[in-house]
Amino acid sequence: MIPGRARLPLLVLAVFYLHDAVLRNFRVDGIRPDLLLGLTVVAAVVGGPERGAIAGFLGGFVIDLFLATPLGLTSLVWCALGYVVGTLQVTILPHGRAAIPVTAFVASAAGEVAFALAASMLGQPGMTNSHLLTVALIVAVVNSLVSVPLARAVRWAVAGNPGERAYA
Amino acid sequence: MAVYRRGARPRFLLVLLILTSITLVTLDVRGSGGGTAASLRGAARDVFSPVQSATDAVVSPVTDFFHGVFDYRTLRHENSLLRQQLAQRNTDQVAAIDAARERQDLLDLLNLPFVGDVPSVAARVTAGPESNFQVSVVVDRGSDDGVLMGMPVVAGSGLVGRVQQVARHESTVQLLTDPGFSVGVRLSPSGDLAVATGQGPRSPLVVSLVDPAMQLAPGSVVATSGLRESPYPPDIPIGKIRSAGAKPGALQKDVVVDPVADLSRLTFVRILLWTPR
Repeated sequence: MIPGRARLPLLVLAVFYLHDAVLRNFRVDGIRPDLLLGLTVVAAVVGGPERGAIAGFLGGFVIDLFLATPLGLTSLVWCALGYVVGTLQVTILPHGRAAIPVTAFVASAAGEVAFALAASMLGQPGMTNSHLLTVALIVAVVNSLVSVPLARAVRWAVAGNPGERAYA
Repeated sequence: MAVYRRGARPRFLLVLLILTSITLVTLDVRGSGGGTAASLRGAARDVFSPVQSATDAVVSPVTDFFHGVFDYRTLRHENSLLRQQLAQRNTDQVAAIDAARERQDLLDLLNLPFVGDVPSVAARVTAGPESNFQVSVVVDRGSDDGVLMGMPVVAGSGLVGRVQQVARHESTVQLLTDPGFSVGVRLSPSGDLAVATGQGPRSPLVVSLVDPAMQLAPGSVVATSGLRESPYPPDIPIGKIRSAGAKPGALQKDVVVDPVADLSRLTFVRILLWTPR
């Protein structure tokens, strides 16, 4: 039996393994899908702003360990993204069967753009060009497609903490 | 659908996580990619690279299949190119002998000993870039093989990039087309110095700080300058000039350079165990 509080970090590690080991050389038209960004968005929609922020921070930190961009940058952007999406989910985002895939699409694209802008502000060159649009589109499509199975996994992780449970 | 109940705790947590992230970013930026952040990254790679290798060995047939499916457009384009190349091959066979001699002459002319007696290690490319915003490859040599951050990496025909991150058994090589890559170059035949900068994947390099009056012929070789304290040894071929022109009144010439190394098909590279003198 996995303790409730350990489930979300465990899920982040499992998705990271899937992203960085199983699908390490998987590309769609040369673009690498960003499953941990998808997990952040789905965790925010299903689990609310707190879970979104935690998933974003953990996923971003793990990814940051393998990137050349400053350590903590991805966790900063994804953490904020998870919080914003989680907050919007309870206020203005639509609820329904398509809510998760649609939110995953829009928020993933926004996440990629936000990351590129943040990296540019820190002096990383070549982040905001036409390539960014292709990256954002492909990542958004893939995350939209995988959002439903990710949502099932997040519900399992959230179910471990009945006191803070949220549903979507 | 039940609705999430908002409280003060998420906001406090958000502030905590954001402050932690900003602290990490600050430490990494101030440490210029070294220090604690580099150690942390190296340790993470050391732990995870055996897992990646083992998993890759198991799943590579499946991912290769999907690679074929999702990169169909690229494969079709490559197929078409290969057919054209095959058709031209017979005609080019004789010309190739001359071209090889010409290249050798060019190297001799420019006095490019290339690697010379610089010690080096051969490395196999094991993966593409970790991020969609990087132009890099992962190779199977690391600090245990004497590899250090910043060391130059070459392929058969010229410079490929430099070592950007190092773990014990693998390293990340920043390719010279990465927008963050800059290298001091010497232009031929004049020998003038300039700076070449990457422009992104599948894009040529742009050379800046070139005098607009300088005469440069397309096809001329551009090599590393190797000035004192330069992170690269001198005379490693980088590319050939595709075009060079200056707008009226411009303070510098627009020079575009195609890399000599085929960066899209790297399988083996050589890491020069060379540090600036």
